[in-house]
Amino acid sequence: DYAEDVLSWMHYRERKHLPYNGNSPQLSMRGALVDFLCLVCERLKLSVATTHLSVYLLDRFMDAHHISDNQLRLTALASILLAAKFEEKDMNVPRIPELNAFANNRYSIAIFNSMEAFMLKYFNWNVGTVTVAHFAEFYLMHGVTAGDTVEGADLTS
Amino acid sequence: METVEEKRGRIRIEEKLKRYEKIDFLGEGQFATVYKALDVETKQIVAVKKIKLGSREEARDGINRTALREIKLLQEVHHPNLIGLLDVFGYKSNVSLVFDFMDTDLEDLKPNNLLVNSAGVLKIGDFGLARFFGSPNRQYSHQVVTRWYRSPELLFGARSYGTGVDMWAVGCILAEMLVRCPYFPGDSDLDQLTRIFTALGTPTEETWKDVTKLSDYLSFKHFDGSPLRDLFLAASDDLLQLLGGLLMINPSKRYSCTQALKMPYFSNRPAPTPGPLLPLPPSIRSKKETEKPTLKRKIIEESGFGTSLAKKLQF
Repeated sequence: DYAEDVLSWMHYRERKHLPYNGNSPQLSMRGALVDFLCLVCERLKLSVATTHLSVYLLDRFMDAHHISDNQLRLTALASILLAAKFEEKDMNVPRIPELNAFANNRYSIAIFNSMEAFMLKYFNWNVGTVTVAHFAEFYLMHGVTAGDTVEGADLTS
Repeated sequence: METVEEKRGRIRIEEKLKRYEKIDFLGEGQFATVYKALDVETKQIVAVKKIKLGSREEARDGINRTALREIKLLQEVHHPNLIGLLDVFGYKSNVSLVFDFMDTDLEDLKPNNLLVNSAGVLKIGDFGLARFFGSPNRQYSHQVVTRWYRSPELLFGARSYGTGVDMWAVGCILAEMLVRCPYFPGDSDLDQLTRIFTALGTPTEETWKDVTKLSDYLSFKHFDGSPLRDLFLAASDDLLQLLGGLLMINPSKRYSCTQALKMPYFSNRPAPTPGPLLPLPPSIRSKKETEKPTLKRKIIEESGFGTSLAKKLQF
């Protein structure tokens, strides 16, 4: 009933995204890091929305910080933790040790906690936002109706 | 080793701890403790809601996710009838939210979450479980509203529900205002449905299509229900008409907010009393009288003319 309102709010929220400048001193590591992040999300069976939100958080955070090589994975894992808290059902939110396992248990729980708190402060406690995943879901729900086909196959089945 | 940025963050938190001076303990809920405090920077009275950590085990997972969501929502919604979030600060896995101070008590639409300040402005005060529209994976939990205000479709386990659940809650609150006690005070989900159906009639496939397909559907004894006129003897016709639209058992027939606002009840005389002219509950009236000098004294103490005895907020 509120499709129009929801869409205009999503566009509004998107315009308020933090700018991305590609300024990270570790930009050359981004590709490998995003691959790592996607792998973790896939193994933990996290949703597409979580994956997209964690990449958004990772990019914005890296853009504004100099991160030492051995903290890069921590940054990616903390991004997943925050994103999952927003997007996943309670049961699916990964525990810190589960995430840490993907970094050979290199980090302490305390360092995870302070990284999370530090990122929250950077994002001014507002880490949930709309991503491509939200738009895709919206258009699937409101733009695709029974009888729509793609290359002859029924889209809704 | 603490990095420069971590140190800067820590110093900022310590500043926040000093900024809000605890005045009074206001209440304690399942997930949070609320204090009345003085913001020493603005001299404004605020409510500080400290989110409980839960078990040690839970704390190890970092910041509480419900708190995270509530913060996000509060930062994004701005409305004169929604409680305003002034500040957020955290320490380790703790989170504290600073709100406008409201004179009555502090997700869901129930009288305890409807706050009124001394200017007679009503604000909704809790978004603990609300999720914004348009969020993917929208299989919401059906345990979202305090049972007494929970709609029949939620009680039958519906997973894809709409704003109708809030309109039902509004109907329950309206009924409660008429009879001055909770209208459907069920002590279990079954008892809740029994109370609703006894009063309003048991739904059937004819009155509510596909009700039997809901996951927790149970066949209830048939009740005819009573006309609202017999249940609320003192209510006017326009009010009964509104109530009937809100307490519609079939969610697809229940009035939407827009429909409800167009009802004659809202345009018929008498017009509502302006907020500031509304009577205050006696408990608050007497508090207000004693409060002013205390506050003044606090400010004097702050300015260095007195000895500060106020406890600092510890988080």
